Amino acid sequence: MVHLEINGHVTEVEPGTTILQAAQREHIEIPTMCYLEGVNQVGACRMCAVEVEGRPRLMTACETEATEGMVVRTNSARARHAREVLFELMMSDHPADCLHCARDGDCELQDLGRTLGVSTSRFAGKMSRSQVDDSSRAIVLDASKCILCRRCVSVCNEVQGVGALSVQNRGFHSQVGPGDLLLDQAACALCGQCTVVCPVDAIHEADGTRAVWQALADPSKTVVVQAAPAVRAALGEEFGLPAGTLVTGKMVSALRELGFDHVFDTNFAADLTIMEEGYELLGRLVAHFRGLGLVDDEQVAALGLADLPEPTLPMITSCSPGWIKYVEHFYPEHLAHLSSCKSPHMMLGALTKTWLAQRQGLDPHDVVTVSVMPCTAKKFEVGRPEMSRDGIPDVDAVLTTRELGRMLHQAGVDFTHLPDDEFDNPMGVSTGAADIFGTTGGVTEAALRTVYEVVTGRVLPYDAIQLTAIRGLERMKSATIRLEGVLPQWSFLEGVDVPIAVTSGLKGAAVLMDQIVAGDSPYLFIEVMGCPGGCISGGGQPRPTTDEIRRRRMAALYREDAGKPLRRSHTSPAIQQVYAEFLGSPDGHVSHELLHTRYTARRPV
Amino acid sequence: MSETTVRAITTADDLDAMRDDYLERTKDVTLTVMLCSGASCLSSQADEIEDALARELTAAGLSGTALVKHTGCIGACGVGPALIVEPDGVFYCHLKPGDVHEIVTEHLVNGRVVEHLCYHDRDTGQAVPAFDDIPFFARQRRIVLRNCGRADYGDLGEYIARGGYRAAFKAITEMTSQQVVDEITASGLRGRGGGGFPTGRKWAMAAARPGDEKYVICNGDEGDPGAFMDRSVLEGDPHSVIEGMLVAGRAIGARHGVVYVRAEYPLAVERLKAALDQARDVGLLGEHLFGTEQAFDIEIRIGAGAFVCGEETALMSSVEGRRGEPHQKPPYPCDSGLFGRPTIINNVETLASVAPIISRGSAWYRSIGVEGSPGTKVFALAGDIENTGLVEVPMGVTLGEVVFDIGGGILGGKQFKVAQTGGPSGGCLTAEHLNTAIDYDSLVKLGAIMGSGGLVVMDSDTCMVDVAKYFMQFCANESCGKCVPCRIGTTRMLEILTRITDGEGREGDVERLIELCDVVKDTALCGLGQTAPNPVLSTIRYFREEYDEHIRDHYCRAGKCSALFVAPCVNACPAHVDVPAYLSLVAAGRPLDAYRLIRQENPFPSVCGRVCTHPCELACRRGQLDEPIDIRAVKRYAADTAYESGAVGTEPIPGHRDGSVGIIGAGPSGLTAAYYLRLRGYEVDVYEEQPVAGGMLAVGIPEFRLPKSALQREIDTIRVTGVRIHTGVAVGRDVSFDDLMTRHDALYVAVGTQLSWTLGIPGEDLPGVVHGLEYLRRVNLGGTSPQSGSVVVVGGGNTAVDAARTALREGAEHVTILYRRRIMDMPADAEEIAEARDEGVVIRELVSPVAIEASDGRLAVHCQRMALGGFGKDGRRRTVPEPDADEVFMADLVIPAVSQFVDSSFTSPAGVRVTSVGTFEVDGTTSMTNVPGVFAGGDALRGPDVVITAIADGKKVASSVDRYLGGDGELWKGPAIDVPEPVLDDGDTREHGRFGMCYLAPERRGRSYDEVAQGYHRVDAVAESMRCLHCDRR
Amino acid sequence: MTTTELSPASPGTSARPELPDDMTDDVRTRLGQIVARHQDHPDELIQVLHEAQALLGWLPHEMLTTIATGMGLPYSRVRGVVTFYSLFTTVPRGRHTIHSCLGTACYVRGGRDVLAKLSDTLGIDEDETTPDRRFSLGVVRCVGACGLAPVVTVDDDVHKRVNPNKINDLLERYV
Repeated sequence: MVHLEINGHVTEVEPGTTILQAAQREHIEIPTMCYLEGVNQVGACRMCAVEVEGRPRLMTACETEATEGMVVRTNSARARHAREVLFELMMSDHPADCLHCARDGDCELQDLGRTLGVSTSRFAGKMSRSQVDDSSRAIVLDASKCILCRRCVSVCNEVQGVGALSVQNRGFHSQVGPGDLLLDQAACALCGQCTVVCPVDAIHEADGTRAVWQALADPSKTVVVQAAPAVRAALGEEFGLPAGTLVTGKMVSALRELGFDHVFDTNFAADLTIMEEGYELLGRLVAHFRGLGLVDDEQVAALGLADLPEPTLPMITSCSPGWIKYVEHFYPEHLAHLSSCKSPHMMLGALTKTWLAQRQGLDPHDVVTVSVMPCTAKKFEVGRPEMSRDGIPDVDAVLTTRELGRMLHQAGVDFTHLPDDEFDNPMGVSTGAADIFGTTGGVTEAALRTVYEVVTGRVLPYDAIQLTAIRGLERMKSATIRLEGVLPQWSFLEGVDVPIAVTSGLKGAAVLMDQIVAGDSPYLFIEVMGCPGGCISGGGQPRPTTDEIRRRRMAALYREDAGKPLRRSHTSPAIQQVYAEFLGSPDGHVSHELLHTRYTARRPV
Repeated sequence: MSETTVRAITTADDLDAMRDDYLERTKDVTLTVMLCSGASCLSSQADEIEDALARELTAAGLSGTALVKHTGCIGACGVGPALIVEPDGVFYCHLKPGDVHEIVTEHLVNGRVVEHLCYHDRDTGQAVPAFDDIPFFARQRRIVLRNCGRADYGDLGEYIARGGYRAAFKAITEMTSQQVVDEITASGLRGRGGGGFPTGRKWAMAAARPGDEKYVICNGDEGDPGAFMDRSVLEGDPHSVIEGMLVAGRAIGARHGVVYVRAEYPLAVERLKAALDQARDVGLLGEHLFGTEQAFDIEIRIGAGAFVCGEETALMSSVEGRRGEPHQKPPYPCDSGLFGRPTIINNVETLASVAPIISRGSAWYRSIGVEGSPGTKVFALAGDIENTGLVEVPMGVTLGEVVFDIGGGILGGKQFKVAQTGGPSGGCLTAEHLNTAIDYDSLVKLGAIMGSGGLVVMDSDTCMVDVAKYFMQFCANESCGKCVPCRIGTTRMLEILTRITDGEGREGDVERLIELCDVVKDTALCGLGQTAPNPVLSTIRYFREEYDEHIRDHYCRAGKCSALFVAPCVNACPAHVDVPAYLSLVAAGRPLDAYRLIRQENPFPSVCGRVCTHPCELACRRGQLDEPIDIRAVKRYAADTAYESGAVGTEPIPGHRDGSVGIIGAGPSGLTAAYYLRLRGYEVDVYEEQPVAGGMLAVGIPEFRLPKSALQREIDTIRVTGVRIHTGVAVGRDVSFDDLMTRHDALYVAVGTQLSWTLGIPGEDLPGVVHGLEYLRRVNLGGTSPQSGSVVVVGGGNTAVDAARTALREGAEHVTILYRRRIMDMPADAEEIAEARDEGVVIRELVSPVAIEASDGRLAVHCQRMALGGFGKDGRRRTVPEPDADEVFMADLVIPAVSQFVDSSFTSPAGVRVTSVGTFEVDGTTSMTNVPGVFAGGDALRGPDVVITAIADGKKVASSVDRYLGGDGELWKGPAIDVPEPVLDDGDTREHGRFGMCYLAPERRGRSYDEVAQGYHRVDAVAESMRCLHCDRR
Repeated sequence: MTTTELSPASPGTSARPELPDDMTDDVRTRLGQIVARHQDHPDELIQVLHEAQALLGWLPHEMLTTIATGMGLPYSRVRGVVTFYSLFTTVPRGRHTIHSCLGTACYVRGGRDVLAKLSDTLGIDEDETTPDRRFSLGVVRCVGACGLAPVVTVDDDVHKRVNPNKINDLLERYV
């Protein structure tokens, strides 16, 4: 153990602990700016400078490890004055237009100013950057607000391993960006993790609120809204509720307060995705075994599977649009591994413009579909050509959880005192399997609950074999399910092991893709979510997102799952109704028309 | 040249064999020509000289016995291309390919030294053929540069023959790692890159780390502008660096070496690559070195233009192919460096010192230099210095020795101002520090750092605020941008400095700069940011008054900050006369208007046209093309023409101002103040002790320099405005100071320095000993009898020279000036000294009188010969008596003239404060003394100074008095005069020297007091004024 | 100083100013060989960039994308390295490259006036190329020839003690 003294308090810490961590343990606050636990420890802003006896200069608390007998003073006049001057320097290269900045009141630079109590601004001079890159539908880079803390560069390069952002130029003209091209042209997954870590308004989601307010104000439009599973586990944080508060009921009534005509639950489409994707997986397995000569055509016909898909295995989930764009850029020759299913909210949007419009006798041109998502990449997804028919997009606008919070504030909705309300039907009912879609490992568990039952006729026990191996937070997990006692028509699957891998964050995904490229991937089914921890910590979720907050949001979804009467997608009456009334059979002709999509190769650079 | 037979070197015998092989190859060589092939010389046709040498040698049949060596940089870049002929040790320089023929035929064939191609001493003009006699080389001690200039950089055999790779062999085969580390630690070697970190300690830390995946990095980034020693070592002796790295690899147990060279040194990369290949071919690099288990190989990595990559962690990022951004220390490189492995990073010069230490032992190394900074340091002399180039001297040598004795002093004889060491991270060493020993610790005390050894010398034409801005601009450009204090701090400091040099500085700017400097130093992540403030803090510490002048008075004394002045000449003139304007008027044939324009700022055009020290001409930019404009002569032409035309009328007094001003002293300062105050409308009375007005102009400056007629007509133009001049009235005797204080509303004390300093030696009061000022006064007022025999004048100022030339005209046969320093140190005007010598005056330097004795009717002046000592605070060399070396001079008249001082006793009743040397003490802005209403200026304020400064003070006081009496301080300077557009050459200006002025031939001067300089003829004046480049037009 | 990257972006337009397309097939093959030599050593990126820039005297966008994919590095990181070091340039150079030295020695000996006169005579500023692509003008911070200050280099020639008033006859030698 290492013994050190901070502001007179003697304390004892593990070797390798930084002064900042040691101080926090002693409930001593040291101001920081660029530091972000687990993401960014680069010593760029120098704000956490402290006096260390025997050192000629101030040392940064975030990077300097405590050593035996170290004597630290965090609030000496010299350290405080240095921080004030550093803050003045930062403010001298930052547009002080707080009143009309989206992050007013939710900005770490403002908080720092308040903590330091700096009243003067004596170093006005030329500004270093002024460009705004709003080329992308998902993310906007506003260089004039950037304070070069490099959190976005660290999360994009070290955590996500994509490297779309780096520091360009040198010195005062340094600037974060993709280089001499626009973000829309860059090999960027638009996962939005950079918008979550940015302390100021330099990187944020492209605004969706204006379009939605216009639609709501247009009496000729029927405005339909849906909300993703992960939103209900985090929206409360925009109103001061503790992380992990499940606010499903309040969220529905809040959406009604804004004036949406129908409030549907993306979970409904999640169950639908399980049906489509589950049968697609089975289809690939059957095609695979037929390729091996282990199953003949009558058995295939007996299983009621119409035209079998290519036996490309492993099959990888496709509900994360950031992950999809990542594969299109970096593994364009392996797009076939991706499931052809659209993401749940796209399915619901497609059904709204077709099935629901027909049921209610509405002209699809007058129906506006809005998705409230924990994700920034979805803003790009809705604009993909494949996501519209005859010029009518499946989903017209996407709001992040943060944007919904802002709209509710603008509308004066007192969220915490709202009564609970129910989603509308027919696309409001959903099973527990849909809930856990929002967290890493959730889609796999939901799919297995259905596929296992289809193949064995038995219900997959929720608790006993909760596939704990694939729960929890570790970035890469794998498990193997052995199919035993299968139904006769699935005899060729008897004793077959189905190895599964689950990862969240693109760095892990790259490892799995490299195995596929090398031809030695052991898996049959892979679940990938573009953001570490899954959609509960997506690019559109409230700030901050720490590991602790991830665990709480995850637990909320599992709680909702456990509390639901129906917990297996195929048992949902709404699902049975939509197939009966509209879709026919999973992976059928209508499904392929509305619920499936295709992908386009993109340049890696 | 080097066809060494290639064989693997594993044992000491192999090394001996390589040596013998080289000796065999060169056994019948009788003459060696060492041709400097450093980059600078190469760029000045050294290669063509090489071809000429080859041709001439074969033609002379010497190609068998004469060997031409391509050596590294000899060091004297300023005089390149250069070569040394051995064994005679003769150094030839400033060579052109055409000179080679003469050297071969005259010297190599017939053994006669070609004098005119040798190095010539700047002061004596004599040729100094022998390499070892040239001061630039004589005082050096070459360890790092041992082979540079001596050995062929590309000949491995010669390197080994000169003892090369013996240290590597010893370290690898005969010493353990610990012994090598201990030896280097014992030697006290410190890092030569700039920080001075003990090399032994760095190696010990890396050696202690386990495993052998370690790195030795040679830092050849040399980003310091003004430093080029690493370049010369890499180009001139690459093997010394390789051997140093081998020893380092052995010491810390590393197998990988990287040499990081900046991309701006292509020649160094090329020659290092060749040396590496040579070393690999003979097994000096690779596996199983010298048959042991030690393996070591070296890779070259080229930089790409980033000064920050000189910092070790940034350098490692660059070697790893990333942006050269540093990261925090600890962790130190010796713990986790390149690719996360233990790494030591040493500068080229440090590594080149390693082999000699291992070969000759740490005790030998410690015997050189001083305690705490052993060994030698290579300095790169550059800037305004005579001998630019590389010098290697023992640590502890004084700055003055480097700049003056080795460096040959300041270019063009200008005055030394600053030596800047450590480049953008360093500080200034001023004239006060010329006696300071240069070593790590003493430099830090002065706010400077050793740096890499770049020593840029700057003369008095350097603006220190501009220098601070230059270095801050450099740091702002080179900042990597990672941390806030450096990225934003350097730019904000640059903006403040730019504001100040643009004349928009505000009160409090300097304090704000200091505050920013302290915070940036305290919080920046790496060395660049931590030291970027040093040049600013150093220039503020030693030149704070220049900052204040820029901010408060919008004045740049060095004439560099062009936003603060119209033209350099106008800025250099204390009275700010608009020189380009009156040159345009003369060029347009309007001398009368030129005269009127000059009088607006200076009421003494005719006087100044004759005796002004013309600082304007020193600043004239035409000097960079051919010769400065002869501004003084054109001014005299305008004045004389105006007076001779009789058109000099009296300016009407625009308005009456109630208030009466008394002025004590009718010298140039007093009369100038009187003139402007009278024009402002005040009643002005001037009280002059002497029987004539004019002060030093009347009684101090002899007739042949300033005819009384020219002076009186100028004083009349002042008298005619209504100024009452009361001559023969001594304040304190004929009228009391208190009476004047009551009689007038304001008083200006401009009494000048009337009393002569005494030599303070026995016999000074003997008859026949007359002090300079008294002698000149008697002659000028006509009260002397003809003088014969010999006259001895003591002193080096204008008074001494004037007294000597006057004595000649009074009939003296021999006149000798004795001066205790060197002639180049004499404060007198260089032109006057030359005139005096033309007229026969003998000047004996380094002689100082100790006693005067009367001996049979004459005077014997006993003197002591002096030797050069340390440096005075003003940068001039002090002198110390040479032991038992004295001389006696017989004379009929002895004139001591060693400066004058102020008689301020007459003001004592009023309690006017004076300084310790008797000059008056005033407020810098208002020129007012501590007694309200009493002002002081001219020599009475400054001590003996020049006439134009006295005039400028007069103007300043006139303005202050007007403000004191309720006016706005604006002087009335007469109606505006329209100035015609100048006629300029288009495109590049064609060179054309000055138009000469005619002088009275020395032999026709004899005893006549006719004016020596006879002024410009009209045609010459017009032509000379058309040479003006008109820097005022922008 | 390297040129700043993003011109004010409006959706759809590229952030790259219009640059000539100097790439030829021969250049592409030679570039491919360079990248192949350093394929699995991303740490040798700077050496690769030096060799690549030697092909055309500047680094077109296409060269950087080829290098990025060839060495398995994100494009933004390669571009970040190029824009960090002052010797790399992403704008075409003239037939002759002039570097006016502004190291301390040259600055003290009047390098500032030399640069000003060069910029005046050529009608371009620092880091720009004359319209007829005859000259590029750049500043360098010390080429180590301080004994000959003020220094101007044109391509590989080093001109010593350059007089600002004699710039024209220095330039005339380079067509």
